[in-house]
Amino acid sequence: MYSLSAKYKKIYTKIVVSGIVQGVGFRPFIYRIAQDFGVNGWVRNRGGSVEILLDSQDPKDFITAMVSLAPISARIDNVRTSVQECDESLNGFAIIESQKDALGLESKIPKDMAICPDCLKEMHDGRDRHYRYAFTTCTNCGPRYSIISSLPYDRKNTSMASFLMCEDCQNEYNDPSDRRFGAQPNSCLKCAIPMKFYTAGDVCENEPIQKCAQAILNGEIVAIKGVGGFALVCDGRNTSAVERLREKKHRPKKPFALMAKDLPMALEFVRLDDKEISALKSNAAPIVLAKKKYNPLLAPAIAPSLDTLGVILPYSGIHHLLFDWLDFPIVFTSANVSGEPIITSLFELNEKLGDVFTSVLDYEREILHPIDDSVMAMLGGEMGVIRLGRGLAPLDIELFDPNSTDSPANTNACVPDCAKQVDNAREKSKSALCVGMGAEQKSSLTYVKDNKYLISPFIGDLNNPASICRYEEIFELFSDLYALNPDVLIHDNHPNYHSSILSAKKSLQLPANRISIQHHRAHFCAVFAEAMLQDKAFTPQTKALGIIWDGTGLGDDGLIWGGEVFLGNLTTIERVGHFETLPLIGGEGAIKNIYKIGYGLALQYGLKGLIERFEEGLPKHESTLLKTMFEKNTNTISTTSVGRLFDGVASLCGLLGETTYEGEAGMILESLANTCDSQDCYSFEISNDVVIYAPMLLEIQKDILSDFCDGDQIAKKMPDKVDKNAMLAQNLATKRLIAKKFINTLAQIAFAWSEKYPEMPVIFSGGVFQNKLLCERVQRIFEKNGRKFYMHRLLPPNDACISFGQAVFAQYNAPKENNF
Amino acid sequence: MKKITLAQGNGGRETNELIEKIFEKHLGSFLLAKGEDAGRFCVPMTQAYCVSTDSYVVSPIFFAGGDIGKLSVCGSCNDVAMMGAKPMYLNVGFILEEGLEIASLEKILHSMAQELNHAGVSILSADTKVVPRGNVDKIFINTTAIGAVVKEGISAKNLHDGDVIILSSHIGSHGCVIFSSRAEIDLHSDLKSDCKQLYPMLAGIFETDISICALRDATRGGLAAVLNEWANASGVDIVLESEKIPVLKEVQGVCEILGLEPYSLANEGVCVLCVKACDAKKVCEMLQSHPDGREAVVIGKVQARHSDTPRVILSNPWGTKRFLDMPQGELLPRIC
Repeated sequence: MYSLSAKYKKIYTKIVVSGIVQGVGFRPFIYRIAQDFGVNGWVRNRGGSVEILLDSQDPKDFITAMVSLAPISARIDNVRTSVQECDESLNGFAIIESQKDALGLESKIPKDMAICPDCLKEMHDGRDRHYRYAFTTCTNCGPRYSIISSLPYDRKNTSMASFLMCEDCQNEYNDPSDRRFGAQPNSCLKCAIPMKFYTAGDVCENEPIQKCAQAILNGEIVAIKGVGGFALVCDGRNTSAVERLREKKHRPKKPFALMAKDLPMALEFVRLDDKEISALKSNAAPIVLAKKKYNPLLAPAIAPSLDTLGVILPYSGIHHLLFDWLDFPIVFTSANVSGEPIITSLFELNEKLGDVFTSVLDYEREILHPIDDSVMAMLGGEMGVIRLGRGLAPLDIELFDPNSTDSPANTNACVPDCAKQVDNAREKSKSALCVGMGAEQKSSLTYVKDNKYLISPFIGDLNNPASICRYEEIFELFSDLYALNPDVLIHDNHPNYHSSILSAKKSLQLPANRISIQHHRAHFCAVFAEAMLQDKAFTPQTKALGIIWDGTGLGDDGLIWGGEVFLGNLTTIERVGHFETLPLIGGEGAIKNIYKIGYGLALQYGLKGLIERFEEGLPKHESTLLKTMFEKNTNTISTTSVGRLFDGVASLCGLLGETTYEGEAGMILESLANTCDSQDCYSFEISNDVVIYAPMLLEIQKDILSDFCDGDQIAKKMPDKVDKNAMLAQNLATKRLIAKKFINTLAQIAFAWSEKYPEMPVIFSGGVFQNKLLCERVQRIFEKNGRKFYMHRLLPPNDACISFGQAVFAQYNAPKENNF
Repeated sequence: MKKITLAQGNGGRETNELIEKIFEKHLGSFLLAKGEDAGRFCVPMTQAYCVSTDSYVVSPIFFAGGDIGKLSVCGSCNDVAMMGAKPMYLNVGFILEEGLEIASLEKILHSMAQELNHAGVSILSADTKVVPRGNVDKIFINTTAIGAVVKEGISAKNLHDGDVIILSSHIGSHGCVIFSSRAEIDLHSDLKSDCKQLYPMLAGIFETDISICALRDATRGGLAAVLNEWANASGVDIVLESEKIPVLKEVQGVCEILGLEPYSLANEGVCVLCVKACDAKKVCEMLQSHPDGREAVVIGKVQARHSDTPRVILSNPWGTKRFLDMPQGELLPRIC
């Protein structure tokens, strides 16, 4: 009996592929190779994965072909095979209807991609249906995350749902051999997404892009709806337009990005090496921070006092079409109110920024998930991320723990090297879903389950209603997409972070367990996990030295930390050193009014010459008050922060009295240092695990006071406190030298720590390591001495990596059982 | 008698001498129960009363614009006034530290008498104790005010979408003065505590049929604390326009240097009102017609909350919005 029935059953192989396999043309690709292999079966999207059924018992060659030939935007993380018996026989190969499924974190949300060369070609081909059509797209490019409402990624689950395809588009969409097969945002001139150009009192649907270009040429500020939100744009050569934009956006000095028509145009304004060029041209199309070239065409107000400039290439059809009419770069900055998320609707734009722009280029497809442009920069020899946004986020990471029970050996699939295997046993033992709640500024959210991480785009600072709304939206989105209820929320130790307050509230509502981790330990975990991804020898048990330098984070001792050294791994993290403390007179306010930090440093270390300078420069009652506060320790907070040390040094040098954007002092010091060749360092010592920098400050004072005469004369002409501050070190060469020696010294301090632990790999995190020059110096010293070091490559070193670090910590430390 | 002695707390001759010579000299005319064990008062059946008690331990006991005595009368009287009541009676308990200068005590009693007189409030019952040196800081005063309710329906739970928030005066002066003197910081300015009674300013409004949704004096935690408590109690958002909130230039300047937030500083003679939008203009005018309410101004409005957490939001003239959070004990920087 048994043998008889077996005769009627057919043996099939089922293959489940996960990774970035939806929205990247994966199913038509499978269809094509199935045709080549001449196998029968089908392929479909299931949840966030792709499921394939083949009438072959040995799919080895098929899988090898799939892995080696996969579409450029696809990324295969997991391939699982199983044998299936089936009564029916399958004829031919088909792409069948997607199946909605409870998703695991291995289901990836596809990312927004810059328009591809094929689509661009059609857009510029007079005979093509897509000629000068701004929303030309295919499976290799176009919006994804920004238009998705739920998974699987099908048109009905996007904001394209309301647009009907014309017959031609529908045919392409249905044809597995076409590169628009299943291209969800597909449309053409015939079934176009309507676009409009609004000027004062007029709406224009005819040639809106040409009219927009004309407005830019006329020196206007224009708002343009892009992929993840609106951008404010003006002529990059037009000084008055750029200054008007600054004034209206209340953004006095923070640098703007520049969009160039193409790479040759970009190269007229910045120096780019191969890695920077390839990042710039990648389909994430980020802003790349590069070294500015002197070019008299460029309005100086774009990036005042800096020698770096953020450049970006056109990434949507709209931008490309705009540059058909423009032969100069444009200022390109997110349309938002300072600190708030990017604006996505015309209504909100008019309401919040109505007085900033004079005209708007808008289109009717809704942006469901706002997302800013990503920002990247060369950090220590490789490209690093400064802002995780469009094209890079939501970022998915899988950590593989070689010492855990699941090993790739006990699986039956043919696995490519890069792909990691999920062990069945582990999958069955349900581990907790943990959510990293992030910090206060540059907030983000990270979901993790079974060591698979999903990291949200950069959200913004949580001190305002709009950011909190977006934060909650993403929290809901991730929970909904995965139909999972978080078991553990992990937040920062700082009780007053809005993320900590929300965490407490949500843990009651859900309910979920709630744990917390110290700020810089979260940084440590984040970069530790990245080191595991970069180096297979790096395991959760590896002991590493973590150099974590940033602006502000609450320490174990109730002081503000930010110049920390840790020793440990993912389960034990011990603070083994830090910078000596400096006073923040008047607390948080000193972070904006950095002259208070400079004065505080001068007072603390008895820098007499500089104390005099400050007291000459400040109103008498203010310097007296500040001094009294310092002496009596009134409202004065001690901090080990290196970010604040940057502020203090900038103030001591008279570069800056008040900062108008975060990191301004560091960026100005870096720009000055870049023009100085000195390899010299200031003196410092590490005594009882504390970095003593008093000797450095005394030497800085000496360097500053060598400019004594110069400064004195200018002082008489400038009664204003900030400008008077500016006279402290007049001589530009001296400032450059001080800046360079200061940054050299920091790199040397990092190396000195590593010398105390000669066996340990060294990992770097914290906002201070967004400083390109410091990273470069660290790289040089560490490489020269043959020391292993790891920096962030996937996530920003700033507080945007905190949610990931929290999630990593929770994954390795949170109680697995729910006990509320 | 130059200084307070422990013997003056023994209940005997020395105590009587202290009471007769010092306390009665200043407060005698306000005392309803001289020589009796308890104060007696009559209550009409239909009249509602409210009571509020508070202890005053402020240091320093003398500050620009007031002292602990004035504060102890104003504070409790203001508390009952915030419930729509006219302050009628006060009970007072003094705890004196051995060694307190009699001259200081007299100064304090004198300013209490002035305030009682100003408000037309009588003392029902009073008590004095002396404790050994170090057991209190110079002088602690507890007062309990009893007021007759004139205006019904005031509650922190009464805020609704569209209501308007009115502030009676500039904020932060009291907190600024106290902080500076505690920290022994010389402000070199004429800045004075705003310590004063609020009932006289509000009496006119209480007599009208204008309904007051909520009313509170912005004491500890300042404006930020009052509005956050209201937002939470009523489940609403409160949106303030920062440029409308009056803050003295000196206060603003000192706050910037010291790193203080005027919105979180204590006031002792400033109140916040929430009224219906249609009554806002009238209420402002009535407040402005009183010398203590000249600066009364609409500073914001109540909105249906936009998330499940009620919030107080501060918006500036160019549209930037930020949360005005409940003041926290420690001032820990959050920003990088």
